[in-house]
Amino acid sequence: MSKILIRFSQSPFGNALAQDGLDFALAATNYGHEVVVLFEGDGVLQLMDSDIHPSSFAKRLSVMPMFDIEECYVCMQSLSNLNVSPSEKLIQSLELQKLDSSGKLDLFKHVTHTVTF
Amino acid sequence: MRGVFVFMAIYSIIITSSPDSGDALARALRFIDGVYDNGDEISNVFFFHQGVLHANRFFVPMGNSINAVESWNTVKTKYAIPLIVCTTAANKRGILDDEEARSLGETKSHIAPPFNQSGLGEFFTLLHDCDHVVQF
Repeated sequence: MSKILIRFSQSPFGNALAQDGLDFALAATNYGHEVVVLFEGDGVLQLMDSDIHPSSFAKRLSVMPMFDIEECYVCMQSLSNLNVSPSEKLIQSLELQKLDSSGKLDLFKHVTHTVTF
Repeated sequence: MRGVFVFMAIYSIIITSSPDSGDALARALRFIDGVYDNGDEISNVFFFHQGVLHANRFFVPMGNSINAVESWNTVKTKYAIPLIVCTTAANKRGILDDEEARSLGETKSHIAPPFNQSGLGEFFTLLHDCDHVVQF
């Protein structure tokens, strides 16, 4: 069984990368792979709650624990760079953990494959 | 058989960039040649996200760009690697597989050999036997 790190690095607005990345992550666990998710760069925008945007991406991400995706991380630096505070609901349901640079390096060491969306 | 080649690595290649996005296609093609030059092997090339556009056989390349379909044809002939296209991602972008084309009453689909019409399931099944994933 391989451990796949899926990096979400793009905003959910303007292209389908975030949606395709989520489809990819959900399918991986169905075929016996372990999935770890990391939000970084503009990808942290996917974690925002939105009252204006009817189908906020945060809602779609909340299904991940039901697909056995239990390790979810977010880059601390990217959050402060973009001044984003993740949705409280999402922090709880995903058990989202913040990582600094050295935390990210450790994460990369412990996975078999990395795919970036 | 695999035990004989102890040091041989097996790669899986994911293409998520479109054929017109910079030099990703050129780099992917060089990488594939490099893998075989090195005595290693590629299990499959998987086309996902914008990468499905590589499989559109109606793609008309302009003067100085690489012809994606032709390049992948060469790869297939040379190395016989399965070229797997995610049909869900393709249909979403108007690249119809056989089934979708039929249901829409079209006589021809957009995806033809050397590409296989399949999906994430096949990619993740093959991934169990791969040592490395490389994304372009």
